[in-house]
Formats: sequence, structure tokens, C-alpha cells
Amino acid sequence: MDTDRYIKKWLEGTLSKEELEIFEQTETYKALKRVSDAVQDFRAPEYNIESELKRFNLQKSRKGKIVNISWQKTLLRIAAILTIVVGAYFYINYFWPVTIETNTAYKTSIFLPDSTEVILNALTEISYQKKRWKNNRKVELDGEAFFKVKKGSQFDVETSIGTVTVLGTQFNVKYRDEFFEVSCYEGLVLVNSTFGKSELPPNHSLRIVNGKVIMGQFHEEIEPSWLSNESTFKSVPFSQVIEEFERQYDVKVVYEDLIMDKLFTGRFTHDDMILALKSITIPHKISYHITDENRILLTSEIE
Amino acid sequence: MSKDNICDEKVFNEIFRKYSRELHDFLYYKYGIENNPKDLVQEAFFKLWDNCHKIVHDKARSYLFTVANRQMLNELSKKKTVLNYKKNEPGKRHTRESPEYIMQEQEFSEKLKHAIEGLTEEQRTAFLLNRIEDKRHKEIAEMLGISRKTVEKRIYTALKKIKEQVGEI
Repeated sequence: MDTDRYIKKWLEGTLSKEELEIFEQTETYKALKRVSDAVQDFRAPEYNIESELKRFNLQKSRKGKIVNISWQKTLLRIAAILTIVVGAYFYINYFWPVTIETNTAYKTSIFLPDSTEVILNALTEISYQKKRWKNNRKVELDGEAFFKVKKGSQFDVETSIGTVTVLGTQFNVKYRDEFFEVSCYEGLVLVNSTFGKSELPPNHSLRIVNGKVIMGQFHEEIEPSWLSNESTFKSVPFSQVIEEFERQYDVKVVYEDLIMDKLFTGRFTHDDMILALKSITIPHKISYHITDENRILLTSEIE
Repeated sequence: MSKDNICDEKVFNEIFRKYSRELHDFLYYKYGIENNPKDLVQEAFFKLWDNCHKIVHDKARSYLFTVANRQMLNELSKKKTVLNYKKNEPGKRHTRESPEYIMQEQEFSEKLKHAIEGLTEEQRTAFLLNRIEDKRHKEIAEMLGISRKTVEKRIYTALKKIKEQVGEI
């Protein structure tokens, strides 16, 4: 006799009459029966449906639940949205940087929160975090700017090529396309780039162009010449000179490839375009031709 | 309102009358007297009432059992289950028995109570529903949201465990 099978069938109540008669003769059955009978004592206690329903309906009317909850939910939603909006406002106000930019042919001067003066050359953009200046002393630069740092101040000037760390000093940073140049006028600056770290004492410059680092010296006295409306170059590719010219006069200069590779040493003024054109063309035997209001054609005189 | 809309109070009251005892007994076997099965029934019906517009009439029962199965697990699972045990009153059932026999019977009941309380919640619920409420495996499976086979296994295991504990009878 397969007792297990009998027990399972008995539990489910699917034993046939004959099977049950056989099973009832066994000791197993008697034991099971006794347990099963005694288990009846553990029946769930009295439950009065009507009184429980009354209790339920009383509670229900007291709570007024559905309406209440959806109203509270709406209020909660409004509160949550308000919190997000207000939070976002403060967040943006706090973390959003201040950005200043100049147009072609314009220069401007601003003060950083530590009263450092920054003079921006034409077509330059800088940004910094005004509200968080104390913890985040950093200025992002695209273009050219001269920094007159208040004594004891420290901050970083970041460009995508290198970072300049300032320790109470005056210096110029120029970052145009792939051309990066730092010139120190006073004190000491630290330049950090993918090519390593360098310290620049006064009258020293560092230039990174075409992936090469070039250290140089210059003899300008107190500040870069562009502050007195002159651009000065020392062995700079001619294309850079023309770009600077375009920035200062808001013109488009068209030139032959031949001219582009020449290196230029010299200066041009920001106040007189014809004079400036002469300053950059004569030394290289280039002739210029102003085709219309803001278009200039340069051609080499040497064939 | 349609006849089957359970947001209708009359319809809802009918559902309460129809299922609340079954739900109560189920909750009692599952969680024991300590966890106030009557209050748990109320809670489950409040959930149903709050969601009455989402639940169709035919699904009300299974919704109630789903709630009952999940609702209280966190708070309850750790409390030890104590079943209400009706002491055998000698006058009632064993009038003609000797005092020794009554003693034996009481001892047996104590052992049995201990054994039942020692079962896992799953085994106990299935076993008691089967033995006391005469529920078929299929019905228990629906109440618990598990398979029929699992129910069979739980009941059988529970019985085996109890037999071992109450010893030779």
C-alpha cells in the first residue's frame, strides 16, 4: 500500500469510497484522524460580519478618505514642484557662471570678485563663478586678456590647452584657436599644460603652438602693447597676425597661401586701419587692395 | 451607477458580507490572534474602497487576498504567531472519560498547539485552511497566489512535522 499517496489523496478528499474503507483500517489513518480532529480546536474565533461591517462604514464616513487623500496629494504635488523650481533657481543662481564677452574691434575691462582687474581684448570670452568665488577661484578664458592681480590673490586661468596659476602678479594670456601664449609682466605665474609645468618670471613668455612649447623673452615694460591699442608680434605666423587684424578692425582679409607661412615680427595700431595695413604688409613686400567696405585682398609682390 | 460598480455602497456592502469572514479566517491562520485579524480585514477593505473605481466586481475577492497576503508582511512577519486555543472543557466533550484520559487529551492538545505554532507561516496557513475550513488545494492556491502543487506540498509537510512532534499516539 502506497501510504503517501493515500495520505495526499485523503488530505485533498479525493479517496474513493473503497480506498477510504481500506485506508480507515490503517494505524496511519487513526493517527492522522486524531491530529485532524484535535486541530479543530484551533478554528478561527468568532467573527460577526454585521458588526464588522458597521464598524467599517462608521470608520469610512469618519475618514471621508478618497476625497481627502486626493486633495492632499494635489497639495503635495504643488509643494514638490515649488520646491524644485525654487531649488533650481537658487542652484542656477549659485552655480551658473558669469560670462563676459567682447565683439570684434572692442575691448573692455572688468573686475573679478577679489578686485583683480581683467582687460579683455577683442573677441574674447571669460567666465567665472561669482557666488562661489571663494571656493572656486577659477576663470575660463577663450581669447586674450591681461590680468592685473591684486596682491595676495590666487586663482587659475583655464584654457583648453593649459592652466595658468596666479600668485599676485600681472600677466597676459592669449588663447586663439590652437595658439596659446602666456606672458608674465610682474611676479610669477605657473603654467600647467599637457606638456608639463613651467614657472614664468617677469618678461618671460611661454607659447604652445602646433603641439610645441616655445619659451621666450620680451622687452615690453609694464603691460602688453594691445592695452595701448597696438598689437605686437615676435616671430608669429603671418596667419595669426591677420586674424588679430581682423579682430581689431572687423574686416575680412583674403590672402594667398604663400603669405600664410611667413613669420612676422612687428606691430600694428588699432586706431588707423590704413596705417596698420601698411605696418604689416610693407615689411613682407605685400600689396593690399581694399575691394569693398570690409574686404581686403593681400597679394605677394614677389613672383 | 452600474450594478457591478463596487464604488456603489450597496454593492460594496454585499462584497463585505460575502468575503469578510473568509478573509478574517484566512488572516487568523496566517498571522495569528496577536496581529488582530479583524483589524487587518478592515484595512484590506479600506484599500479596496480607496481603489474601488479601478477594480471590477469579479476581481474584488482576489484583490482582497492579494492585499491580505502583502499588506502586513513587514510589521507582522517577525511577531511570533500565537493561535487562539480553545481549552477543552471537560464537561462538554469528555463527560464520561476518566481523569487520566482527560489529562492525556490535554497534554496532546498542548503538544499539538506547540507543533502548529512551530510550523512556518506558509505551512500553517495551508494546513489549517485545509483541515479546519475544508478548503481544497486549488482554493488555497488561489487565496495565496501560488500553485496547487506547492499547496499540496505544504500541507503534507505540515502534517509530517506535526506527527513527528506529537509523537506516538
